[in-house]
Amino acid sequence: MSSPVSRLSIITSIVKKDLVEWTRDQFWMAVSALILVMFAIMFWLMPDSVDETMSVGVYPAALGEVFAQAVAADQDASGVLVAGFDSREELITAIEEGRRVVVQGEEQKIKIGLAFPADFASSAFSGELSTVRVYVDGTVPGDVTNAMAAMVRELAYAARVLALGGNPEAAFPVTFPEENIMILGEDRAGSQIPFRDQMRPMIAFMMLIMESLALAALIAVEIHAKTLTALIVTPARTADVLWAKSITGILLALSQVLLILALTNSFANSNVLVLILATVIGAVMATALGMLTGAAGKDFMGTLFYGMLFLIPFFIPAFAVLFPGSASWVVKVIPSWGMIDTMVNATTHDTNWRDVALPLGYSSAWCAILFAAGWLQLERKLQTL
Amino acid sequence: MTLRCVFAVLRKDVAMSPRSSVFFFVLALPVVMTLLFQLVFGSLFESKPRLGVVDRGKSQISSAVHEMDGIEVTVLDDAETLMSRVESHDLDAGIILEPGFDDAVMNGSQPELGFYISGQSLASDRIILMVTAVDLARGVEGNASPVEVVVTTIGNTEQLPIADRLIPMLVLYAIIIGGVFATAFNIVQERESRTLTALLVSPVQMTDVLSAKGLFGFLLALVMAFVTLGLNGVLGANYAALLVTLIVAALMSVELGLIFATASKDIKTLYTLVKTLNIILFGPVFFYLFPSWPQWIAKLFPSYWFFDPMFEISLKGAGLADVWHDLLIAYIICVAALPVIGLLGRRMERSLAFS
Repeated sequence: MSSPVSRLSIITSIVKKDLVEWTRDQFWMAVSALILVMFAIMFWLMPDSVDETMSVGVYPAALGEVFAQAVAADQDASGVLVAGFDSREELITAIEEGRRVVVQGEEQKIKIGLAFPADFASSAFSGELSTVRVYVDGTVPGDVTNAMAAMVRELAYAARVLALGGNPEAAFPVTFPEENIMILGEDRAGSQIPFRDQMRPMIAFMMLIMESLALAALIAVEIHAKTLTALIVTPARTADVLWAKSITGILLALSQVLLILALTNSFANSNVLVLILATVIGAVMATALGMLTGAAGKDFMGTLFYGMLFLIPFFIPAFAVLFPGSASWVVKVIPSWGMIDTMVNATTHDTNWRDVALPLGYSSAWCAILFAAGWLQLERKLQTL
Repeated sequence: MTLRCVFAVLRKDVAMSPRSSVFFFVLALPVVMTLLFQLVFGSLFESKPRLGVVDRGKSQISSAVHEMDGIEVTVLDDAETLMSRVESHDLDAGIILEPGFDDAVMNGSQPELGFYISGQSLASDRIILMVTAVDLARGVEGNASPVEVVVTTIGNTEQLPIADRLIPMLVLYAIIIGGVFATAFNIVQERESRTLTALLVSPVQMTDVLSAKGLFGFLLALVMAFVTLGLNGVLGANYAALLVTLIVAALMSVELGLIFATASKDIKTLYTLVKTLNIILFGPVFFYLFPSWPQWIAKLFPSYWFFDPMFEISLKGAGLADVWHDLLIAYIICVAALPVIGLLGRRMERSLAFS
């Protein structure tokens, strides 16, 4: 008679069997690697900066400098870059052809042009009405066009006051006292977080979703092919099978997400431990959902159907982070929110454990609930086989 | 291949489809995706500057600001809420209008305007909102402007908003779900449950089965593509050109579905293929979203050759004469795929016979 086999070795054997089966499938391995590379390529192809400036061409060139000064004392922070043009035709052609011109050392596409009349200054002095033409490319939004027209009007008001020997600031209908022009929160002008960086959690979550569905499919196929039934008539108990499937799911999800995070350079300049913990929570959550949906569906399509029912709402927080502002409470009650919020904070802000304690704790609690639900659902399914 | 057998299998699939979760996916997902994009994500790519207003007096500005083009305005009750929402970047900037603000502007005493900017707002949005605030105050002042401003739109007047450019992606999604997903899963599911083996011992041949499944997927893809275009209000005027394009699109997607189905030994392999397929077929979409990327790469994707005509016809009003050459390439790809499907179909038939 052989000695009893330990639970650990049974679990390890099942995990090993599953992993070997996955890795032996060269097609699956190749395609999974391909997907990772494709996601990484897409990530690196995305723009790595945020264009938060408007490039404006001004004719005559001499008025360009005056306009720039009127817009803001410090042009770099004003959001408006000004290029002078020597002729109106040249300005129109630059906009029409989408020509790039060098503005303050940077190549910019001029989409807005301001053509002041030659008698602009004398008209301001005499009080005569002059006409300024604002040329805009079809892609320029209405708010920008209106703002440009308003800037021109303000310049005319200031020119008139200046011509009469007054202080141009007196031309404004209001004053902006320094203490009232307040920048609230961390000032990110000139150092905005690129869209690409905000997409990291979404890419990572997409990998988790794929692995969750893959685990669900594996479970559904094993139930359908009755290999799980065969397993539980061996010395392996139901709990051993459940532990083994959980560990396999977590390992598969975790390894791929960590790899995609590494390929997208997410660990540089981020709180690595926080990011890894969020990833682990995500992997456990994905596994729990895989168990839950894998056991619920009658076949692969049924599994996919249940999977989608869960995963589409779970995906919402990953999209929500792309929008400016704080997430609404509707987004915050979704179990995946805490994990995604932590990933965003860990990769885009200087973050510490205190900042992420609440979202991480929230996601961990949800993770425990979902894992228990997945475990119970799969256990019940195994017992009914 | 006998037409009678093809239609017999097709009839069975149509009759069984309401019970199938694949059918549910085909019908529901394009509609859900349309709703998500139209209601939620459409504004993501072209967000307007967001201005908060607290009016402590009864300023004309708070009513005039609602008429401003391209600015999202939120009227708030108190300064604390405004500052909190500006700080969390729920608003790009906020203004506080004190009592008597309008009178002070009208009598030229230059009242202070409380102006708060979110640290995370774009520099361009900051200047737009600040200038807008000044301009609104000018409106209260009521003086004639010393200058006439004439706005002329020139150059690129045909550029579409990104939200519109996303619509063909939704249509592509409907075509893929119907043509590739439904076709492939339908076949592999029947293979796994051995109903396909049972069918092949009847007078029905493999070509009949593949044709019937393909035809069903083709019809689903075609109908859902039209439904998605209709839901997004871009059916356009050129129905004939659109129909020809969507026929080629549905044909190519069904062929891909048949290739995946016949190449997959089981659901797991198919699922792995579908995971990859999403990126390969959706490839051209990313080049439309990011015009600065090298556009020639988009042409390497087979789906480009029907995606571009679909884009031109539905959104830019192009006709068949403008896009026939692209459609011809798409059609040649479809014809070239037929021998591959034939080979893979025979291989699957042999594999079923041995199993």
